[in-house]
Amino acid sequence: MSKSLGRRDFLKGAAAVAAGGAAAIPAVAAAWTQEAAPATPVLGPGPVPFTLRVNGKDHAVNLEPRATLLDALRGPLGLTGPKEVCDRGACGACAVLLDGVPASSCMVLALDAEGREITTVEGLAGPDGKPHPLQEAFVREDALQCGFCTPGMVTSCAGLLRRNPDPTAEEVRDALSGNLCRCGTYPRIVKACRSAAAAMKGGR
Amino acid sequence: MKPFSYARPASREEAVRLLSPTARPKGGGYDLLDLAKNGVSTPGTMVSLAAVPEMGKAWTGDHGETYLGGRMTLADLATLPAVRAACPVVADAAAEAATPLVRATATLAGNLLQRPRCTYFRDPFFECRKRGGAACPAMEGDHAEGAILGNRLCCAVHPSNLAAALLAAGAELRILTGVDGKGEPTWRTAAVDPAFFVAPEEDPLREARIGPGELVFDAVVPPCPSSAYVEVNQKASFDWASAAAAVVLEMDGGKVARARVALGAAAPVPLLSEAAAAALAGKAPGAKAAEAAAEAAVAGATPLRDNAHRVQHLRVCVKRAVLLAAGRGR
Amino acid sequence: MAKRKTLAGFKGNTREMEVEVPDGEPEIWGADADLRVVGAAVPRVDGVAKATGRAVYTADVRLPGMLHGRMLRAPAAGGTLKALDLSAAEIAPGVRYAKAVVRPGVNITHEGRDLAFLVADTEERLEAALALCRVEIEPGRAVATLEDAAAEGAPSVHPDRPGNLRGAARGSGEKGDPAPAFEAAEKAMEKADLVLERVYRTQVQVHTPLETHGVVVRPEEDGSVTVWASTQGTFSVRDGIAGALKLSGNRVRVLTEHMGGGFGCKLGPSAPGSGFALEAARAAVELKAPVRCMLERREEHLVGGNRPSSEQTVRMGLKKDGTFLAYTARIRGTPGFPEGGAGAANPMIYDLGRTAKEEISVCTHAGPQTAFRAPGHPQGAFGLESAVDEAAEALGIDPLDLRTRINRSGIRAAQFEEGAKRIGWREARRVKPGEGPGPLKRGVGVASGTWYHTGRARATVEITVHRDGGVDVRNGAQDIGTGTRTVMAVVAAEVLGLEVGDLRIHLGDTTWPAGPGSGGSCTAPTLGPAVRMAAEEARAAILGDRPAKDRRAWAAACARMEEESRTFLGKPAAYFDAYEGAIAGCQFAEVEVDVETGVVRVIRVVAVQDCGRAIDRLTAESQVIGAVIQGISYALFEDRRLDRGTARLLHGDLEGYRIAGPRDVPDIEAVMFSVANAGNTLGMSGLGEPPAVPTAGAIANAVFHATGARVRELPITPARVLAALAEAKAAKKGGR
Repeated sequence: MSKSLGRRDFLKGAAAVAAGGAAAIPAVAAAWTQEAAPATPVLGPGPVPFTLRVNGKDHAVNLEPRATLLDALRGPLGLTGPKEVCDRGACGACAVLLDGVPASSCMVLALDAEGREITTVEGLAGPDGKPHPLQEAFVREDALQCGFCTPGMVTSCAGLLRRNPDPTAEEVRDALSGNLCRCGTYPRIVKACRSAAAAMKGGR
Repeated sequence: MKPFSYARPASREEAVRLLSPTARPKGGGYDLLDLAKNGVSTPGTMVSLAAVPEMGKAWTGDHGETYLGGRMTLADLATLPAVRAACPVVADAAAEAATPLVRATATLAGNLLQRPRCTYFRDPFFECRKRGGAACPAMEGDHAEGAILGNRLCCAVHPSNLAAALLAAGAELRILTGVDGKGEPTWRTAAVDPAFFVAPEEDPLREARIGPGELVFDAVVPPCPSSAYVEVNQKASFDWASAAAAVVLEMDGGKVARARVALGAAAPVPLLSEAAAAALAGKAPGAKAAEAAAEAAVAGATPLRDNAHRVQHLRVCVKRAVLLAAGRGR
Repeated sequence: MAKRKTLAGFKGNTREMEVEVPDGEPEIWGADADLRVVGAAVPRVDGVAKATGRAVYTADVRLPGMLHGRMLRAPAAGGTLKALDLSAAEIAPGVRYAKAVVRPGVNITHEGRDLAFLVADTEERLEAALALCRVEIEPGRAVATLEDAAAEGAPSVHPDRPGNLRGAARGSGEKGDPAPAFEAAEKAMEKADLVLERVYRTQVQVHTPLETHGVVVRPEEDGSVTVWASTQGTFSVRDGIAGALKLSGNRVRVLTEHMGGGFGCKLGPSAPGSGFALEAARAAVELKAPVRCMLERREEHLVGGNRPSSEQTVRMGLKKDGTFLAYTARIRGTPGFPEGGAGAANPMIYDLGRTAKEEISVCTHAGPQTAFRAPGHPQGAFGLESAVDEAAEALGIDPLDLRTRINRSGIRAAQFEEGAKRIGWREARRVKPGEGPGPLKRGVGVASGTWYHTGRARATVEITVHRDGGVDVRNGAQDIGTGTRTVMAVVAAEVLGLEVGDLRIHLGDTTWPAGPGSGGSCTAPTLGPAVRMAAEEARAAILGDRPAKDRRAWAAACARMEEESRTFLGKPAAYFDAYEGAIAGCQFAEVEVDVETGVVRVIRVVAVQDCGRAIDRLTAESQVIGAVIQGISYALFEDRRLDRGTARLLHGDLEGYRIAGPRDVPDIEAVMFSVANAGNTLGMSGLGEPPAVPTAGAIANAVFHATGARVRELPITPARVLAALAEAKAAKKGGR
């Protein structure tokens, strides 16, 4: 029974439910004793060796469990594109793509990013170093001033265009609503994102 | 942050084995890391649920109820069509929470069990009842964002959007109790009802009746197609609610057979307003009934010196949520 | 000096103007100048570096053997320091340095006051060590608000000088006692048909640059130091650190290639409320190792400076036809612990009859005010523009018509017309406050601002021309994100007949010629004319009488050079009388207010801004758009709040301290209003500050038009809108 739960998303009858509509306890207690899972190691609190896959390359790191993904990127990996600004997930300056989805790396433990595909603003450019269409559009539209929020903005836009290649202005604003800019570039970022979307549709 | 240990079990069985009063389950980890970064509390071990497969998913049961995995992200809750169709109140609440960056990693259980955002609570410099202190400095201090109901001892508001939504939906939690390495794990269910939440009068140190070594495996939400969650925010990009209402209507013809109205960001715990529900029962859910429900919801409000506007905000949320819910599921 | 003629003015309104210019200055680019690159939309030259994450900021500097430093700060305000015990921290793992920077007995003027500087080998160990420091404070009452600080018997922030009120009261146009000016104004008001007295309040706003204040200091073998600094004033950091280390300035090299925002708070060597950079330098020299110290976000809120609050009591007397007989303003504000600096600048851009003003700073136990994008102006404009609107409402005159009547600037008169047309003023104003079905009400408002012709700072720009045609342009000052680099490239390209990409612009290194701190919107208009002067020298020397045609012509001429390279200097260019004495601008805002919740959304802003001549249209527009966005944020959200009992900061983050995000900001129409002759040979004006002035006033006036609710306090929160709506309703019922 427990095994079926994971696979059968939205399939009816996956769980045993009492007639009244109240949820029943799944028969996991039985599974508990039957499936002797291998013991999961408890790591730390000292440094732990593990691997992070960033911008298509594996990097061996040795970090305490409390290290955030942002700590790992800006420290041992030397990727200082993502910025530390609020340190609380409120500003988006540290945004990176985790398996293609933007997330605030200051609130993700580095260990939780193990085994995931991490893309930073540095990894968006082509292998030949040619800037990503978004990066070109940001420059073209002057969608940046001091530039400190820019890596996070570009990254959030990149995440948006992956799932929505043709966003409206409103959709761009929504997607960026966790990214703060202090110089005041939002309208031009919206423009740049849509301009990049058009350029990408045109086959770069 | 103080140092802590870390484990990432690959099954719920392993997860439960690892949990203990000092080992906390971690979904997205937003609130746990925020508390740790602010020096409020740091668990000895963070038990990451990232690798427990079934906890990140949703599925539908035989009776139309929806099972929402405790580690589902707010982004999934907000966008999965099946969730939106079966329980729009939950989808609304998740969509209104935080920002896309947060919603990408923050989880159902984490949102439900997050601690209050009250700045006095989050700053160890201040004495705070929620950290074992004898007084609430926000009463005399800055409480513009404080509670307008149930605020006699503590005026922190309950911050969880999903708590209000699940309360209105009459959801049930399936909880696994940790064993700290010894003995058998146990399952229990807990209805998300007023008794699940713990008001400061009973115990200021927690907001919900769930132990530190327990795990919200999933939430089971009965179908509630005529439902909605509405909140008021000062800012349109990332703001905590000034007030919130989650409304579930059971319709009988053109009339409300039964309603559940939950109030969020209004009191130290989410509240179920029986008075608002009564005002809707048997009525056509139009503007008049919605306004009556709104008035009933705020009837007992005890705003503090600087937060009377939140009474009006709550009134508006209830009214708008009723009207939005009434337009759905038909 | 020589008299020269130049075509001055703006579209449809130009005239020949005679100005006195020092000899040796290039010709003035007047209204009729035919320019090739200047005025085009040129993408900023450092854009790609920033968009790809390659740009290295001070916060990104990592050096071998680098240590981490941070200040131990007073946890709360008030009282005196009794004891400071660093002994446990000194012996903690990884700690390399722990030194008190104050002595017991010192008065704790504000939360975050510097107490001791610590250095450790990692940030984690540094944090652990800071927690081991024992700070004992003899408690004392703290005052957090203007009301509390100004109250009878309030504890003094500076006990050696009783009371918290600090004079600086001055009369309008006269020094010293303002009383005679107030008396004269009151007398003039006796003849008025309408006398209004209103109180306007503005909040404390924190600069919140995304990159905090910070330095990395590396001691060099030869006894000099290299400093990477997030600063608006490379040379002030140099001078500050040289002073602290007792070194000559040329032994301190300050580097600021890119920096993440300042807005006025990064003009000094450290931060306005902390000497952290000097302590980091001292520690680095003592430890013979690089030390990095970037402020944390909470520290930035505490000691990074702020815009002071204001409470403006305005009295005005008018005739029925809208003629002002008198206007007086008594202003109090909280600068934090410094003993001055609060006030509200409302320069008399309108004819207000007899005027009088006094400004009093009221010290509180809080971090210091400092220059913030048009210091004093946004708060003053909010007061003045709200007051003018209230007078118009009381007299039944359209607010734009009243402004047009009392306006003193020909530029602004044309701007009013332009802006009104674009926002659709007449049409929009036909709707009366609160009209229409549903809870969402729309309205439009207008406000003006002024700023000064700056760019009179001293600077030298050095241009090196290489035989292969390469051109380096150098100055030691910094580009704080405004586009200074790009402006310099455009000017040099224009003069030399090159493209922008042909030039290499070097900024942010104090081993290069001295340049200004980026304050007062002076950087570009200081460096621009200096670039032009050096470039004109280079052109004359290299091209002689040949025209500066293109890259090929330039390269061919350079190839004939005898030397490997030649260097040309442009010293402070000429500044002369401008077309008008000040820079004019006005803004129109359209808002939508939910009258059930009091939530305000800005729908549209039209900003008509005198820009002199925009050198690079793209970055110039960005300055205006950015200023308006900060203005929206100031008008609706930002509010640095302290706990009233302890004066402790309540929201040392970017969440409780609300800043406008992407969904709070509409499209902004930046109308670059060119006015020839801005008083320098390029005709350019600084643009950092002028457009930051009117926004809040325009929004407040639009909120009134939408709802009939007059909110006289910033930020315009839902709570205040609801209260003002209730007040308006009560007034209506009471029959006024």
